[in-house]
Amino acid sequence: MLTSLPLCAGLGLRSPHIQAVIQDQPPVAWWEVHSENYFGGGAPIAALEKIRANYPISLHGVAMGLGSSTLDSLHLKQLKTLVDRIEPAAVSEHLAWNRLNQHAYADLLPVPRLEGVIEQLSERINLVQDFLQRPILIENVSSYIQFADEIYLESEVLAQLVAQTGCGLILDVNNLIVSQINLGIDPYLELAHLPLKSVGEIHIAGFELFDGVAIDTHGAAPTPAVWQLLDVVIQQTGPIPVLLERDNHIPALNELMLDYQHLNAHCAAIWQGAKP
Amino acid sequence: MNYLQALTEFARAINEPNTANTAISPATQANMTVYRNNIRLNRANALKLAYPTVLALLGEEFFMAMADVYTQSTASTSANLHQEGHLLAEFIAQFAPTQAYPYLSDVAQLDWAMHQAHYADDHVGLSAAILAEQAQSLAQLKLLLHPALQIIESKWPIASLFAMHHGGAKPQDLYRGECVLVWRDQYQIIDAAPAAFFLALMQQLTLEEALLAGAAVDAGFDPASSLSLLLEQQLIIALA
Repeated sequence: MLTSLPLCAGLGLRSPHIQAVIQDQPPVAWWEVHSENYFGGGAPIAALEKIRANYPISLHGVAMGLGSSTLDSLHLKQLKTLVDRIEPAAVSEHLAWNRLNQHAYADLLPVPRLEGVIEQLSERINLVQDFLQRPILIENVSSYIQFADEIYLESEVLAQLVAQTGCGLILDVNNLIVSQINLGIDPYLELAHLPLKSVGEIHIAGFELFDGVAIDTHGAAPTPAVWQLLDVVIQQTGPIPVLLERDNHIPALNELMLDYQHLNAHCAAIWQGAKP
Repeated sequence: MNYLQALTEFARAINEPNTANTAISPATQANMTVYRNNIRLNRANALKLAYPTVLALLGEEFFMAMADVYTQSTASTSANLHQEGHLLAEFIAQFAPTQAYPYLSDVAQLDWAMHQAHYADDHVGLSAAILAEQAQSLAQLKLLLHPALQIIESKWPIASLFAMHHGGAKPQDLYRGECVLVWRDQYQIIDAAPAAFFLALMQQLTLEEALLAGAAVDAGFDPASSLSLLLEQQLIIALA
């Protein structure tokens, strides 16, 4: 099983809301957190353990850099410690890189889809899954650039990784729209190549436009194009965990709860056969 | 071009904004700026979180301008943003615009120590009862201390400056140095003899040698309060 998350909407948990979530236990089916924020000990992981006592948790990594020149063994050990303590319902990472030799780049850099990309990534994913003793989900990323002679679509790489490692996928519909605006990719062509049965989780968020470039800030509400793509996807998948992410201009928790409830009702209506 | 060569070209495109790069498609090359900006902002925001006292002393605008110079001149070695800024105290010590604040580098050291202590791994402290069981041989043993424990010594009142920016009063004497013991989310100003005692323990000398190190600084050194602090705060994690 790729995840044991509830098949409904979940919410990204960010630091301004942690104490309120512990105290008030708002009605959210599951929470997703960024794994790296809970590496090490002390107050952060103690707070997450309290939340874990009441909710399923998805651990979403943003800094492993699976496509980097090497794997970071310390990072992997810290993730394993976290997984052992939290017993999450899902563990995920991105199709991205962030380190070359001794130099780290603090962002989700898209992997060059050239000769060798599938071999490199599948070897890494196998290592991580063996070390964690569980499957992980890999997410498609927002892209701002393209390599000159790329030979695969992102979805073709992801499909190969699923076939070769047994990993699952996170399908971020917002990231497809961001890459469409920036690079002219066709989100529906990407969808056609993705093995939807291996998608264990959907992400939805909002981007912001700066000088005509769509930046994946998670700082706004999802656009109509993102909602439309979500509807197409979840009509095909049926009930599935759908995460609402917000990382910038983070609203108060009660306001975010309204967005969450809206998403949850929207997905439920589609799965009950109502037209969106 | 194979995969690893492409990563090298990608890195070069980030690091050398003014050099043409044939690996990236011409139509999207201008967007490399987005990655440069994301990396710069992610790193600067991590610095703000790690260095709250330096941020308060310099103000947002000065701090962010300094963060820009720091991130451009210092490569990240870890992709974990909690590790970002490990060289900032050294950087501040030689950065021309901060020379007017000679205490700032030491304040940065204290901020960094508090930051690291906050995220240090969890360990269970030994109880007084377990130590008492070893009473006969304790002097010859090494007390292994919690990894969050650190000592920062300065000729400036760094703990008072830290406290001032966390709701405390202004330091009365700016020319009185302070030695600060830091552990998880806490700190305490300590005298030179206990500092020598704690440092000896951190260097994994035996308890007896550490007691002698304290006494060498102050013949009247009484370790009772230092030992009870270690026990109460669960900072002794093993005997060796």
